[in-house]
Amino acid sequence: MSELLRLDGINKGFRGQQVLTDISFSIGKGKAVGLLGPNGVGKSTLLKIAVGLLSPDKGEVRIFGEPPSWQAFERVAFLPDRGHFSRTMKLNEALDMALRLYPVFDLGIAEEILEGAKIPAQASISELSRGQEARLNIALCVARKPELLVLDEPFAGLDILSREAMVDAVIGAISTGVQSVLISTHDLDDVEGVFDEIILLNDGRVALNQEAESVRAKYGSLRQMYKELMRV
Amino acid sequence: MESIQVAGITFKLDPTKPFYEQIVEQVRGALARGEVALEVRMPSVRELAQLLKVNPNTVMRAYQDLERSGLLVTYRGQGTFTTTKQEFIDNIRQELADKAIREFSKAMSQLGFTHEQVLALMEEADYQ
Repeated sequence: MSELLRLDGINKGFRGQQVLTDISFSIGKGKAVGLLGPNGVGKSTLLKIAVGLLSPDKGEVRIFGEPPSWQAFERVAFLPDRGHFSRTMKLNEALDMALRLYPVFDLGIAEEILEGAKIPAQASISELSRGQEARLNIALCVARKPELLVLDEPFAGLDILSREAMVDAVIGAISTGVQSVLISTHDLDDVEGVFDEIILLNDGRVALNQEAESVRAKYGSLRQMYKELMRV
Repeated sequence: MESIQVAGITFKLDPTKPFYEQIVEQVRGALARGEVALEVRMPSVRELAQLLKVNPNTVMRAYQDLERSGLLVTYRGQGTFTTTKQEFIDNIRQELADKAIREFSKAMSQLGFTHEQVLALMEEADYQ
């Protein structure tokens, strides 16, 4: 099956406030899709709906052709935008836990991503820099070799080298040809080359859903497209 | 974007144009100028994607395009190499030379020079 994720006519609101309206898109095998849009537009909500952590008010989600379920979670890795790992754990403890917890966990992939992060073995996660923690998080996700990797604002607030490490990890995953990635980001610096396809959210709706290369051909760059479409 | 050197090829991608076309053009240019030799091992799709920070599908598409025109050859299990055939290189050199002359002629004719005047200027010019 080449379609890993499909969303159809998704609506979602909180306390009477409509956040997402009639969102539909799909993600094919081996693709990297960028979910763009300003802060607060509902990107995080949409990602949580896509992986089954939130239910839509209306519409349908299909992961691997099925409604979201715990079986699907074995094949999906989701990195939320706020820290989720135990703050007191040390690096080796985190890797040990991952090895025991996940059905698939390739330690070699994790070590490759962590190389250069210079994480002291004895430091607990709460003592790590933002960049170090981000690299640990992405390593834990990618080493699971998920068929669908969903990352919520993975580049926000990172230094240049950590951003590059994140981008390398994402490119490494897509290079396998069997892993797809859905990434939300509000900022395009150094990462715009990563995407096959772009979905732009504006006012809770899909304002654009197009191949990144054709966006570059049509608008001049992703940045230019973003500015033009957000202005209206 | 900063320029990246790999296998004798200098890549510099402009985010305002499709990356796929730029990768193809820059490999062709490097081959035509002799900056990369025959039968040189190219980086893998993954390596080049990570170096250039672009999607591996984009690099793959560029490699496939270059393979179709014979400039790159992929051997199963061994990787991708530049062509073994000098004639393929001669063909792109000719193609790029034609393009350079067309652009030059167009610029000169826009400046109002006739063909004869251009030839005379070329004779006089110290364009080394």
